[in-house]
Amino acid sequence: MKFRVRHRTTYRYGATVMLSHHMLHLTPRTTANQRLLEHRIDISPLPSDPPVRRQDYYGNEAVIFDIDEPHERFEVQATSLVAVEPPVLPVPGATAEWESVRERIAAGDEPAHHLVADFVARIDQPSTVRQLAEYVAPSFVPGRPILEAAFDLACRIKADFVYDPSATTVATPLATVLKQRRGVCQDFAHLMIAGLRVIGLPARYVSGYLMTRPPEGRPRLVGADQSHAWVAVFLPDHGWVDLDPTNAVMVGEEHVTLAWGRNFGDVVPVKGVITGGGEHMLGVEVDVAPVEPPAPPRRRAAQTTVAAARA
Amino acid sequence: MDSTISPGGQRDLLPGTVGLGYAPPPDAWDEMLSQADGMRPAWEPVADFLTHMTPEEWNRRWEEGRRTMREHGVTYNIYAESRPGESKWRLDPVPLSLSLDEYTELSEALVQRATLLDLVLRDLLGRQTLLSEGHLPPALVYGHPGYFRPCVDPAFSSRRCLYFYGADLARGPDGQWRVMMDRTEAPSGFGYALENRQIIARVFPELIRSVGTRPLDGFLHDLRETLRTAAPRRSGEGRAVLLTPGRGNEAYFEHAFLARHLGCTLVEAEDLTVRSGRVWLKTLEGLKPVDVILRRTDTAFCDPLELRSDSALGVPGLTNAARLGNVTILNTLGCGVVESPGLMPFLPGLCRHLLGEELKLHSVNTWWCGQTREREEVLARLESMVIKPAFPSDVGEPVFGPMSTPAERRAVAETIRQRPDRFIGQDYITLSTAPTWSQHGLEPRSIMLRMMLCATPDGWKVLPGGMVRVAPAVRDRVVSMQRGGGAKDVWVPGGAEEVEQTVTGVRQMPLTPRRAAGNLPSRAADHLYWFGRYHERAEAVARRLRAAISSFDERVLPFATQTETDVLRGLLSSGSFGAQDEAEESAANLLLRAGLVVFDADHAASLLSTLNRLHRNAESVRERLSNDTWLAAKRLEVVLEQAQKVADRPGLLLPRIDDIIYALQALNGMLNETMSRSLDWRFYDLGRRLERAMQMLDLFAATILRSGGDSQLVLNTLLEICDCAITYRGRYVAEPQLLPVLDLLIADDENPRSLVHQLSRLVNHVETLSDLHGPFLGPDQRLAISAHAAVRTADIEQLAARNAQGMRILLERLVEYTQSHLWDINGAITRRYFSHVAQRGRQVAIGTDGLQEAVF
Repeated sequence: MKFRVRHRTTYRYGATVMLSHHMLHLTPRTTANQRLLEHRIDISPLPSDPPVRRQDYYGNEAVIFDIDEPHERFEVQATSLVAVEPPVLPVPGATAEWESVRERIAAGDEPAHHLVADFVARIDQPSTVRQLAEYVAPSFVPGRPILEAAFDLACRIKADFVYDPSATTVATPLATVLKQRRGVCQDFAHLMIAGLRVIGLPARYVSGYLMTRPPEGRPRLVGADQSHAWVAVFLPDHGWVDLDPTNAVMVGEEHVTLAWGRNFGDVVPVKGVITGGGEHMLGVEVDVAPVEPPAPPRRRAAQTTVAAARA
Repeated sequence: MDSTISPGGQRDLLPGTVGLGYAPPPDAWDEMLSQADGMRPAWEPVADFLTHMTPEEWNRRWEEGRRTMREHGVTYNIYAESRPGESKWRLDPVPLSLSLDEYTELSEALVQRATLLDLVLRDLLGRQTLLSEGHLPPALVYGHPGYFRPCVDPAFSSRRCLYFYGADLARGPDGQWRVMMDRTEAPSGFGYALENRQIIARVFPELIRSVGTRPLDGFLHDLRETLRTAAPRRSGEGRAVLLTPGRGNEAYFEHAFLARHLGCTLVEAEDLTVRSGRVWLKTLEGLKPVDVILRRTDTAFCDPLELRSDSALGVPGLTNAARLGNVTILNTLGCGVVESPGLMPFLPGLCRHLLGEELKLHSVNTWWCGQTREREEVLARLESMVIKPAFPSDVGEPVFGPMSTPAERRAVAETIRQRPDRFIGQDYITLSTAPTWSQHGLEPRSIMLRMMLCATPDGWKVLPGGMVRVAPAVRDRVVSMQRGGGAKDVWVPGGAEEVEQTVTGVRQMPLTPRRAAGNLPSRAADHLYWFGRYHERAEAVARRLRAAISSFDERVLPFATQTETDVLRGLLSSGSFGAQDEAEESAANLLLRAGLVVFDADHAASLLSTLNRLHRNAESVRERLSNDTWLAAKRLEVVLEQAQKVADRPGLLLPRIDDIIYALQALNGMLNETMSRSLDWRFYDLGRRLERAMQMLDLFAATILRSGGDSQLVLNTLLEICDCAITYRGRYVAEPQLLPVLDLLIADDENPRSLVHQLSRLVNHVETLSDLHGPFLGPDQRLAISAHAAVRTADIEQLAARNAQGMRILLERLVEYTQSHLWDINGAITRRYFSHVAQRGRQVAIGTDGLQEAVF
């Protein structure tokens, strides 16, 4: 499928910002089943210099720039045309026993072991660790195939937790989410990732979008028209498989992948440091629209422009 | 020697001398005395010297050392201490003597280790083949809180990462030095080592010479070379700055010390800004490019955009500028990742792999619990090990196996099993002891040795000395500055030609003459301006109080006339003395109260508060002040303390107030004589002129403008306070009269104490400063010019004239007009030159609001 994604972030500041530095993670990745056909980023006010684009530590494209001009409003809009194919998914019941995955990771036997190991390292807060382990245990019974167990965990999160945007912020700790059983996609993704890591399984945070086109007779999926987030688990001999605990589905061709990292902090879509500014108001609009066939002729490579225009 | 001092012997060498009376414990290596062979050869001259000294001589010399430390203001702040502010540096006068062989061996080994760690860092911050090829377990790197992914870039593989390296060495009972800790994030100690030497050189100057102790000055030259050659581009002058977290940091003294000795600008994060991927220093003359940053802020806090978003000590965009190669940061951001005892067991293998050599200097035997076999070893041998966090930033005190209870060991074993990769076990080493001076003679105290290296184009250079840290008590086996231990100088014997070298100076690059450096950061200008203002304010308060006290003999106070009391009330009821009750206070009470108010720390305008602020300003620009200027500022503290003791005795206070005034004059004289007439001085003098004019106007309001303000007593007092009595008498040879007094104090431009003179200087300063900003008049100039014009064109006779109600309306208006202008000038200068300082703390992270280090 092909999607046109428009993601606009607007900051309105209570006082003049004299100088700001920003970093964006708004460029969809190219993956085994996703191609970026067109892409542009419009920034207002105009950055002082052409933005620096770099592959970050996890291979995501980061856009870095500063605005050296007094302003009360900052807007960045990313527009992307993305083609997504259905991912090749293993049969969950035929995947390896989860304990064997843990053993292989712990022993460092994977060919790209060091890249995977980054997604199991460091879990703090012992009290949360115990709670997480207890929560995860019913899904990860001994000998269960890893993908089956992971999908079961995603379904349980969907069943046990209430989607409630008013319940949390980006700073809400996991312990609180666990306690109040409420949150948004980001919290559910973090919860599942932490749960997997606690039992020694690599898991990563994926940021992106979800297209919702409610088919007849089926409910509209939550998470449309905003940034979305989900989880990928690592399967030896296969690679990363994406699951969406917010909607209890395997990630298919209606999820557009932006970037991945250990957690939200690695892939914040729009962040910055401003000097001045007082109180600020944030507005985010996301549109994910399917581009109806006939599709335009296939391009060989993604055509990407980072353009900037005055509002 | 051996015949008189046996190991553990208690005998004095000569009657009446200090002797050694030194008895090191038998289970540790002692640096001075060998159990078997007595005095170690490297210690003989030192021990001989110390033994033949009388206690009086000791005390006299050591008093000299202590005085030097006070004067230099050596501090190391201990965070845990409830009292904020400075803690005195604890230096032990007895140096550690290393033999030349020992030093040479250690140096070679440490050069190898620094080379190795640099290669490891280049890899971990670059292509990471050590991880992909399995030379290092990933959890040791990924689990390190000091591993910052934004600092990783393939380009770093080909760039040096490590420029400064420090190693903490411990010597066990077998006499072997071993590395206990590698310091790579922002190694400190260079400055303290140099400072320690300066102090000890005053205490034992002849001993240092006679032993042929290698001087440390050459290392400063090496440090300068490191900075000079680190710049990413050959073009330009290669501006270097030292980035400090600020005055609150425990080692701020060292930061200022190094900046002064290395000739680089001492900056805080707010002095720097990143634009277009380059780092700039905010100076009064605009933004100046920065090529080299000597970093003393931990990586985590250096860039709120890509590193910790809650850091107020960072420069947004710094990581990106470094990745782009536009600035060289020493040490490179992210170098803390090899600061981990968990890495130590892997160093021999890494050394063979990367250098093809055997590691020359062993670490203390260490087992990382992230490995199965090693973990089992640690758990089996808890009783003989020290358990520490594998990563230094993780909280947790070490657990010393030999001193622990079975319950403690069970608890630590459980913690290790829960998160094995966070812990290491290390052989427990009984640290060596070294003689340390105490009230009871020499005591053996546990020590650790820090040695320091810097990378120059000619290779790694080792400081020919070091810093020893001493345990706080005799039986204490743990050594740490933060726990309140002390320090020692380290002596390495050298050849005669090296001693000669310090006298003749080291080899230098030829330089072309240059004028004013033009690197004055706006923040420093702000401090210098207020330095000037507080200086003048303190003097004004002191002079007013002195005049008030000296107009009366303490003994006639009870008999003061109404006029006299009125004059006192005028002087002591405004400005810094605060508004007093209108109640009819007696002259004696007025004076008593004034004496107490000026030393009241809670009163913002008191002399004490003013001088405290003056001191803070001085400290913040300390690297820009000459040593003598700094001493003059320190001297002020001493006289202030003495004055404080007699605050409630006006008669005794008088000479102490004199001392304060002299000390202020000395400070001003020193500044004026030593400071080049650059922007530094201009801001200082601008502050002084503005404040002096304000103080004079306030004084006029408190004297002449009051009823009976032209009495002989008032005019005399006024001349005294304004330090114009001699000028007046020389000119008129008569008792003071209003008209000539006004002329001298207001209109006489030749009189450096006159109002018009202050305003002329003010105009001159703001005009010169304005040149930095182009040809247009700024508001500060407009205000200064019109204030000057008003005073300059005032007609003294009219000012002196009274109206029908007996009021000097014109004088009053002139005073008010000039006062309001001066306040506005202050505002205009602040906005124009220091405005970014007001934005301090206004840096806000967006998009990550409240998002801290992720919890997993």
